[in-house]
Amino acid sequence: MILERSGYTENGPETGPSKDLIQKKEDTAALVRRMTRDDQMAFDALIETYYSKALHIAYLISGNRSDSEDIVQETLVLCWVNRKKIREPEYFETWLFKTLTREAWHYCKKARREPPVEEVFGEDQAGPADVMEEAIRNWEAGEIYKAVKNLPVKQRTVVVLYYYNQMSTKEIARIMNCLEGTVKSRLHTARAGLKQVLADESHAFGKEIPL
Amino acid sequence: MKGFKESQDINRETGSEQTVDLKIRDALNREAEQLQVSSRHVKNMQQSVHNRIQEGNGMKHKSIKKFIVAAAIICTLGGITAVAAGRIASISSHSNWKEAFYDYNQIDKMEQKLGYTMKAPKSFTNGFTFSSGIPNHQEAQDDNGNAIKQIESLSLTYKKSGMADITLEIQGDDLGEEAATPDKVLTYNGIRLSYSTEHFRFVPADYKLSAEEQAAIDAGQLAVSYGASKVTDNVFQLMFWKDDGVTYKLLAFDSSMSPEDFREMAGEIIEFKGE
Repeated sequence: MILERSGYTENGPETGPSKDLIQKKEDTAALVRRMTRDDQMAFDALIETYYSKALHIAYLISGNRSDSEDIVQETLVLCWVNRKKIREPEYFETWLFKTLTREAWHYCKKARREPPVEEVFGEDQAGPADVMEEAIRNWEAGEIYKAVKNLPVKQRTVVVLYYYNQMSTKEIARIMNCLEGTVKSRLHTARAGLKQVLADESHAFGKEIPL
Repeated sequence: MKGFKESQDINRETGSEQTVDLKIRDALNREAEQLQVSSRHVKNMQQSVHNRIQEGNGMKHKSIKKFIVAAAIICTLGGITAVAAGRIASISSHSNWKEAFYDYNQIDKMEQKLGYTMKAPKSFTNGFTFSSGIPNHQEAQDDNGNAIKQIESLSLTYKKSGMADITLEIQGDDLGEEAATPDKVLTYNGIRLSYSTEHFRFVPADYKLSAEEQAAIDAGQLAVSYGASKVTDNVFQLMFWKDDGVTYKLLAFDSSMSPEDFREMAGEIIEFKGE
């Protein structure tokens, strides 16, 4: 099931962007306009706004913590260098994430390797030892992410933008510069694989998980 | 985010599909949460991006990782003036992001590894809460660059909404970082707390110092760091003390905390008996 949405909510379909969201978009567009007029303070404010999100997306796509810092740095440098080319400040976020995913793909290609698992998951980190349910969920989440990490990079990008960044298939198509149908197809394939991972886990834990 | 049990309660026909979606989303959120971002990280990134832009596209790419290491050198030293002015060029420090952790219980493991007791509360009464930790590898060198001493310390970041991050550095050995002339000396239960501030000015590479700035540098009131795209000022605060042979440093950049606020936090650390 591929959700059709402009922004995912847990309570059902969205009725439209909230006032806060509209205001935020307008504030961002104002900052972008200032940046295109060479205002470095506006650029710094945009870095503050987007750094965390961009870093997380870069990390989820590249699977490598240290590369993700470099990917974001490169993206932000390109953002400043190409600031005059930003024609639609209202769509800055799409422009930024488009540049970011290109950089992430470039790093993945350059690395020509999958990052070692321990780099992604770190050392054994103790969870709440007496909460079995939480331990299972952690384990399950780890298995799902491992599976996401093993997806081809473009499928992985779709999954990250769709599930983590809460973007619609239409928005993702703009970012990835492809047809919306291609996005849906990639998402469908990736999701089917991840669903299988959940089924295998359900079997491993002897637990019923609706599939 | 719906929990596992809640999601199981969803209607099985459509709910099962939603469950898969929720689990994928949850897995990605959990993974992303491991990579926490502090205000210091943002400042480092802004600085490194400006440096890259200034260097121009023809220049060799400088990794943010190197910049973070450089920043770590600055941030782990009380004698920032000395580092920037080159008087103590003999202490270096580096951290590796692969060693960062976000689980408070990891501190126990670090305690066992480093072999000394670390007093580190999970949260403070003023609202600051543990966010992440990272080991620091420090090396003291003589004038000829020979290593005299190597120590491993622990750097813990505490966060509070709307406030600059606070870092607690704990090291089992002393590399002599206490400010020679602290701004203020306070005490807590007989323990001497040395409070000092440093004023940093990041300036472009071709920046010409004014006579006033030079005088402030000579007086140890200002530290100038070259290579930034524009002139920016940062104020660094440090509270330094020793407790039972272990050195503690509470530090912050551009924080509104007063020396008394630092003293209160130091007091809670000194009184800390374990979670």
